[in-house]
Amino acid sequence: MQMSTRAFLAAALTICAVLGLAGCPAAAIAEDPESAELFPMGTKNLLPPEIFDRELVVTVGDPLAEAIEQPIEFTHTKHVETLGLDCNYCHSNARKGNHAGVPSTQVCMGCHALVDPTGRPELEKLKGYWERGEVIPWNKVHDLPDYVYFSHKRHVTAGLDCQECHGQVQDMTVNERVASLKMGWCLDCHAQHQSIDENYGTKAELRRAELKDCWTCHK
Amino acid sequence: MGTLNRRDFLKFGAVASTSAAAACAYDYKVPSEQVLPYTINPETVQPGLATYYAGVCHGCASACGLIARNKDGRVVHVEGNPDHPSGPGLCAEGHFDLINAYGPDRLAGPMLGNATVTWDEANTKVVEAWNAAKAAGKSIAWLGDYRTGSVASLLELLAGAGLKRTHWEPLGVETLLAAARAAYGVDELPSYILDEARTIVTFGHDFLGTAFDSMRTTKGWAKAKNPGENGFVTRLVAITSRVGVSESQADTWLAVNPGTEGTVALALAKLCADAKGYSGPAAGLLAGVDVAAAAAASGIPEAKLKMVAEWLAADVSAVLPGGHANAGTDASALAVATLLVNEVLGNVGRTVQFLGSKPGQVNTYADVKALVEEMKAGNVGLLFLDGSDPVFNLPGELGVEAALAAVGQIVQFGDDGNDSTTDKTLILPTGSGLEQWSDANVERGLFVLGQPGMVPLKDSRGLGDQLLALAKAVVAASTQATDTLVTAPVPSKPLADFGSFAAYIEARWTTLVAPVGANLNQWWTEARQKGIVHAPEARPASWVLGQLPAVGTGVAGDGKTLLVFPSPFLGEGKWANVPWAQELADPITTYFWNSWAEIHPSTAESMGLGIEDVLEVKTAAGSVKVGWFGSKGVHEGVVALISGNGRKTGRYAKGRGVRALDLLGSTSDPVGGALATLTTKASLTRVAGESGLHTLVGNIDQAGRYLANNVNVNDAVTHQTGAPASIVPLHHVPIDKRVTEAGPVDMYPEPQHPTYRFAMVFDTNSCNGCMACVVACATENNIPFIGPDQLRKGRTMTWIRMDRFWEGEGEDQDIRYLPAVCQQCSHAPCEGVCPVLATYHNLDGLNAMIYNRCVGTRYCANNCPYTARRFNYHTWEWPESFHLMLNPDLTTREMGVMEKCTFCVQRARYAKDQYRDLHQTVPDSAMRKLTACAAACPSESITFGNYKDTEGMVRKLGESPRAYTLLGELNTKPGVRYLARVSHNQEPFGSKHGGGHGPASPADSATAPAHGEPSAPPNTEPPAAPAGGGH
Repeated sequence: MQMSTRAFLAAALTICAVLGLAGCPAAAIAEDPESAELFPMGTKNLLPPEIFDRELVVTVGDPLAEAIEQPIEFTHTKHVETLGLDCNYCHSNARKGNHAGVPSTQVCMGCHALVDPTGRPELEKLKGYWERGEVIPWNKVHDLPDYVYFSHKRHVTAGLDCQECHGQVQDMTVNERVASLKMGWCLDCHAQHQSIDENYGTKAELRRAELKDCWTCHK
Repeated sequence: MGTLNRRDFLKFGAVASTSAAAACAYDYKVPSEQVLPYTINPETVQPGLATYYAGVCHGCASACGLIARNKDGRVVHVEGNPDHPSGPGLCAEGHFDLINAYGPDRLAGPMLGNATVTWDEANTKVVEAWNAAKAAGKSIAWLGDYRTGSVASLLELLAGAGLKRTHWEPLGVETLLAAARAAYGVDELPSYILDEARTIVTFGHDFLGTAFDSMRTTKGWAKAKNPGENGFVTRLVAITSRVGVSESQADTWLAVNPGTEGTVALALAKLCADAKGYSGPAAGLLAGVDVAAAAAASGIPEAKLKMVAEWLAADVSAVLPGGHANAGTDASALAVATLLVNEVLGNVGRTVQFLGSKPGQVNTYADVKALVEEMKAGNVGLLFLDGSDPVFNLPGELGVEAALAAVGQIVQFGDDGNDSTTDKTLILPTGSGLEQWSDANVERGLFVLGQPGMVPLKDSRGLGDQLLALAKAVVAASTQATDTLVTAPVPSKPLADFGSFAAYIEARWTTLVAPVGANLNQWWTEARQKGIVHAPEARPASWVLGQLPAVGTGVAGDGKTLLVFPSPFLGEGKWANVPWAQELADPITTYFWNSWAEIHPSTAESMGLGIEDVLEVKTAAGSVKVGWFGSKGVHEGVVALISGNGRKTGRYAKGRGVRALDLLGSTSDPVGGALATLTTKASLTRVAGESGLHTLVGNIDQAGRYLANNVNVNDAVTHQTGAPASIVPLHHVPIDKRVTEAGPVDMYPEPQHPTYRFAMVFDTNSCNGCMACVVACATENNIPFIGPDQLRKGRTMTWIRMDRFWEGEGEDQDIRYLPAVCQQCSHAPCEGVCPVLATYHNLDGLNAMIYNRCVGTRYCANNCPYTARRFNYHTWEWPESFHLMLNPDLTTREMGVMEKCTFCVQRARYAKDQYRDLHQTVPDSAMRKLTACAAACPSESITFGNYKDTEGMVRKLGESPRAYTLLGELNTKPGVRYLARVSHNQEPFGSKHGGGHGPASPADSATAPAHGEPSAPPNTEPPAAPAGGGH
């Protein structure tokens, strides 16, 4: 078998990596105990090995197979399709900042104060949260890793429809994720989305280059 | 296998490391996160976007203005308020105050001894103790830090009800205040406005460090040092027996026999009066001054004194008083003598102004001593401690512990206990200054307002609120406060009507500070937004003192004179429990996490001391064992001991170093009343043991390299405009002619920078090694502290490394600071060696570093000629509750990952985002202080910007004749430029000894720093003949 230089280097590196990683934690923990208490350090948060294995990825993975249970069975269909609300009415931060956010309970109550919740358990729940002054603990459907910078504002002002990433939310009675949110999926658009040409014209090429910079999204 | 590509290799590596990691029983689970919306969203808060609050810095009595950045509910960073006369910029202490707010030792609520009590119980106990003391005819005493503004006003109310106030700080201002009172009959501190001073003489005043109002003096000095703005460069003369942070910037250091500074000042006054033909009110005093005798006593030749007097008399100048390090029993006499020099020079009203500067009520050490005596006699029924730590900060001879034991009840305001806390102390947590309403008024017409930047982390109540509650309970209900500053009844309604301290502040401000006839609602909103109301008013003052101050003649006895100096970072122990303060390397010695003694190298030699040896310093009062540092900046007859460490309590302070006060008696200055620290001789002995002192610095000087460069003052002034080439006497590696003939040859392709080329300029001329940038960088960029054991292994994590080079010795010795960061090279040696492309050059000219791509080969760090990269040998953790201070704008790094300065890419990203909304590129004005270090720098020595913007400040400075690149001969084309220090001692450029390091001729500078964009090929134009050439 003929081994290329590259493969040889890689193999050599791998051996180093294995030895290094195997040796390191043991050496690290053998510090004086008082010092370890004052200056806590450890090996946790190390990049999960599973991250390299497509099948095991949890957060940064493929579309979720099953829906996430929410504290209130909220339906987008009702609000968007039936009542004709604009996404921005509730997710008003999407065009202003990084987080689109979930509306404050006060925004819900802006309308629901006028809706009689009697006999409608989900609305009763909402009213309960409001009256108790309690936070509604929504579960995240779209969760990016902490090392990713993402600005909703940039995407909304670039003219992207919410549906391009979030799917046909207006048809969802239970919200689900349709995009993988993987880096490759992000880069697909950053390399060729039509809005770049529309917004940047002659400078589109430059903008595409900027959008491929790792520091555009990694922080 | 044949073809193993990078991706497969990574997978293979990962699988292999999995098996290794599995052995450590290590479990990784991605938590499912929740998104928690507000119930009612506050109008000003948008999740994910920062909110800014104007505040008061509680780092020291100077009470500068600050802007607190609240991100997702926590104040994560503080910067100086540019509207404040001392802003922009914020010193290291201001940042420590932020860190302290998250201190792990913060109490969860009020405590009585070791038991938790409720606030109701605590308040009842205080009122009971108050009434009991009154009933028993005992006094109710207050011992605390200086207080101004509304808190002082409430204290004044309580004083009316019987509270006996004593305000004293270990690094206090009583000496200077006593001097101003004696010399000018004014009850305020002189303010030193150094902007126009051609010559500054200091007798030890730490005007670039721990002194009161040092932000103002730092700014003034930096301005006076700037050759571009003034057409002159100030000359600093230090007449001290130890070189500290401020003296390290001196062009001339005259080593004076300790304790004789006062005679030198009087001699200078006499010489200057003669030179100026002074005939003012103090003229008669100087007749008896004997210059020759002063020269003999001080050890400074008469000719030198005449030289200094000549410099002083030549133009506008300023003479600064002594400092805490050389406070003898004649401290106030020395201060009066320095005022006398200013008086005869006509500086008063110009560089020395009376702006009504005073941090509230100021008591002397003598007053504190009297209070301790009263406590000992059992006459104090209730004692309030506010910030004070008498057991640690007062000499052992006073017997403070016994005195505290004799007090009926001690109530301590503060977020954690200190050395003075006893098992019957009632501790009432006041919370951080960032969590509560506060205001300050340390100068006539200067009002600083602070609103809470965040909700209190723990169950604490602000000092103002607590005092208001106490006043309501013990002061007669009908009482109305009268303000001591303005003679108007304030507030104009009874105390009981104020629901909170915030309402009290508002009432005071709208009555006292607001202009007559203003729309108060609108004015109050604006005042809260700006945080500063400033209408300065300097008042004239004339000399009233009818006799010469009784200056000292030195310290009698055998052995070395003991000089105790405050740590530049720990103060007098105030910040000893802040790990980042302990971790900062001292600018002079580069030691950390410890105490040490500084002695002259000749002393060490005569004692045969080894570098690791321990020294026993012994005086009549006691002895300590410390490591030592051989400082060329210490008088041969002096042993200088750092103070600030040696505390008995505090997680990070406990057991570190020694308490310098153990060596001192309780002598005080009979006139000024301050504690005298320069009073005793000490004997030195070498004892067995290891010092435990470590440094990360290999060399005392540059070892002949050209890293921190000096230029001659005349060259700098004359070359400011239109000069085509550098005047920095850089030595360059001779370049092979065959290479130059073929044109520039580069190993790397030229990177493209279509819009931005982020760049930074450090002006080493006004950098005084204060380390504010290092702390600001740490809080902004989530940089951990790692402790002395790890530091000893060289695993420092700070992205800014403050290099200190100490050239020469004696009078002209020259200490140069060089803040070294990642140089963001265009031809970066680190990039090419990364096997996983975790570091690369981006379109903005930055060496991007992608943490989650890094596999930790450390090749980049090996290949970086600037040692700018830091490797995470562990996953450093932030103990509870430091982790709440973490900046969510960037990740924390983990074990096995490389990190380095990013030019605060998260801030640049935010600025670009804001201006993209306007379809603009970020303008220069928004970029100059964009990075945390540039925003923090008190002397405004750091400038950030886009090098492609030809009108930008960074480009202008980068093309200054003083500009050079670090290790420019490596052709790494960095994005960082340094401006050479301007020295009065440097040989003129082009002279045979230019640079002071060897030959430097115009031909040598043929490859002087490239101008134009950093990526441009080297400038091969020979420079114009230097105007100040001294062949």
